[in-house]
Amino acid sequence: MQKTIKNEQGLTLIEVLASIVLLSIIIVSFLSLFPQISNFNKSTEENLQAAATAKEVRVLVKEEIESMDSFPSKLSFTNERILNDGFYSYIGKYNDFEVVIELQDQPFVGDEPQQNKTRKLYKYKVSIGESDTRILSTTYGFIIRETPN
Amino acid sequence: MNNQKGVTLVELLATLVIFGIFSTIIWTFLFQAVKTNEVEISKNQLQQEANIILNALDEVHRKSSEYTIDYNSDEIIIKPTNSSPIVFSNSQIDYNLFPLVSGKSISPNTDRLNITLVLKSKTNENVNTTLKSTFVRFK
Repeated sequence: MQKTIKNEQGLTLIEVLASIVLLSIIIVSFLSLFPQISNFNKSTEENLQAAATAKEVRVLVKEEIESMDSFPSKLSFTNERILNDGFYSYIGKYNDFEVVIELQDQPFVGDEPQQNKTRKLYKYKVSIGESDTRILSTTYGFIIRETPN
Repeated sequence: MNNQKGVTLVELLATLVIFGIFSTIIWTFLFQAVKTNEVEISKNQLQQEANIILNALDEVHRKSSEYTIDYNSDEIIIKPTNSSPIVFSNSQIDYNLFPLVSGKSISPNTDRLNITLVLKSKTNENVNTTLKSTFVRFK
């Protein structure tokens, strides 16, 4: 003990500076973790906007398709439809979001005969994403087709 | 304790300068962190408020036969005719709703509601949240 206490040489300025530099390098490398909250908030906002847009698109799709007698080859905000396995895909853009609509070409719950008309329900799915691959929000709806008997 | 030479003025000044530089750097970081935190908190608050307003509006539009939305920059009040009004009010939030449908009665069975909700923070001017949505009752 006596020996260590007697060593009063301390540290040189260079040593102190070097230690501060090393310490700040370590701190700065951890600093990037803190602004994560801002990224989280950004993605929350995107999700909110995507959910609101999904609702909007669902309404637009329903109204646009129901106003026509057959399934249109394209919608006002999408490209030409693509026939996939069992459903039509419409891909487009709405409010800076990538929109994919998948419309089943067969009615959902078969025929439902009513007094003098037949009602058919076609299920469709609206996916909103920032790109084709990253989906932010999804919602479903039905196209109603009524044909007189 | 026999060494009573102390430190020279130059050494003292050097210490002060180095201490000053580092405390300034640390203070700047700290100040920035506090400021960023405040901004993010108010952003988060705005998003939650916007979400809850749109959800309430969605529910009212689905359930009530008729309602009005009264608003000014301090509050938004959704008044269904057959149940109690829902009030959104926060002293830190500036409420904006477009288009101007304030006080107009809305019947969900026939009317479609197209709105843009813009919430601005009163403490941080450039913090805001904009949500656009459509409410329609499917028959």
